[in-house]
Amino acid sequence: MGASVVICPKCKVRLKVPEGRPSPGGRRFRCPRCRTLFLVKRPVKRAEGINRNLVLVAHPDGALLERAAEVLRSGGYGVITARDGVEAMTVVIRELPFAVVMDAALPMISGVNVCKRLKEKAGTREIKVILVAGEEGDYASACGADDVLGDLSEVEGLPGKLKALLEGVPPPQPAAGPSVDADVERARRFVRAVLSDILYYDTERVKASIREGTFRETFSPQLSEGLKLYKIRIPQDVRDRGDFFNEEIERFLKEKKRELDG
Amino acid sequence: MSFINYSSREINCKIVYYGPGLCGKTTNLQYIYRRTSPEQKGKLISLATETERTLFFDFLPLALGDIKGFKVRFHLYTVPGQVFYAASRKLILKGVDGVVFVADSQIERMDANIESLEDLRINLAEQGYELERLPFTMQYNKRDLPNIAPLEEMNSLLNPDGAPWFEAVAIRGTGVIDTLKSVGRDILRELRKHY
Repeated sequence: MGASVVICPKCKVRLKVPEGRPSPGGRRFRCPRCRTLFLVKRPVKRAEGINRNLVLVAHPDGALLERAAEVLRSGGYGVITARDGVEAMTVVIRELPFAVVMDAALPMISGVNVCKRLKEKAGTREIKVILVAGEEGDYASACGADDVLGDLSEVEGLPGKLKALLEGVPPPQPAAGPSVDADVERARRFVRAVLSDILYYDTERVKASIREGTFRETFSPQLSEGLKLYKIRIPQDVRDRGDFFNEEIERFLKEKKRELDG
Repeated sequence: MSFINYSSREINCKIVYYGPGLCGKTTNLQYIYRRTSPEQKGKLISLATETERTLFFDFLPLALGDIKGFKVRFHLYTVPGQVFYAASRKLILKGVDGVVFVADSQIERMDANIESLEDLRINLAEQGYELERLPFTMQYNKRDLPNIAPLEEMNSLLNPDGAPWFEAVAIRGTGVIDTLKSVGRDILRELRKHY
């Protein structure tokens, strides 16, 4: 059986908690050190991007909901359903469907307010909302809905509307891109911080050594210490992607030389 | 982690001033030391390393408040800020009750600020602490200099969680006491939960 690490909210000690059966409310666990009882919850898995094949249908009428789901499934879409505004909001944030078809007057939180909130949040703004709003079309569009449906019984027209809306959803971005850049930037920033320290603590000697072209020799102890820390701090797979340590030193030297000459 | 001295009826707490080299941590402590009356404070100890003016740590007990008949004594420490002194920083952070991060507002020190903050998070995590769960106050120092980053930028880079923050010119004492009061207040609040 696996185990997860949690931190006791009272004494802050790190504890290994065996993974038991998942339960929606979490499991109770007593800290062996300070005897505090607390809830251990599994982190909620969230979708990583908008699912371009998934639609949420939210309506309080179960029969209408099922019928709409059937029509959409036969149109090739994956369908999830909700019966009230709270459930709709939770499911949308977790699953990130590309479109939401919901009744304007959902219980708990109205469809109009769910729509407003989705359009306010950066992670859900791109999700298309079709509001089932009866005669209240103007009110629906005021909350930022992308389209309006008079009644859910007009469900036959939905696949066409969804196809048109899908064209407006941005294509998924390659997931690896930003994290690779962040790791490299982290490595470069570390070297810049080392160089900034050397400059800040010994400005005149740094300037003189740059003029004479002896910076690396003059500050050899500091640079080796910096390299040692660089190897501890920056993971091997990031270091393997390029010689960021020396690249940043060269960039620093060029920049300072230009300033001194300028 | 605070410890209790039953004979003197004192709860002892440790506040660490963290931040990049030459950001003003020592200046903060020296100002607080000067402002505190002699009977309230112990000796200011500085352990200089061989590379000139880096202070290894300062020690300043400052009696404040009262919890269930116990006085609260704050011990204030600075860490050596330069990237190279990673091991000393780790050591000084042991048993910390609250952290003040002194950021250097000069644009050219922004990388050093970010690096130091990340270093703080790593060192805390190694001891099982999370910065977000500790009493923590941010200070943007050197606001009197011309080449400084705007506050919004500093907040978004260094303080996205919105911890209490203060502008400061530590060399003149501006913002120094406010920063200390803020972290002190948060520590007392934590202590009251436990005692």
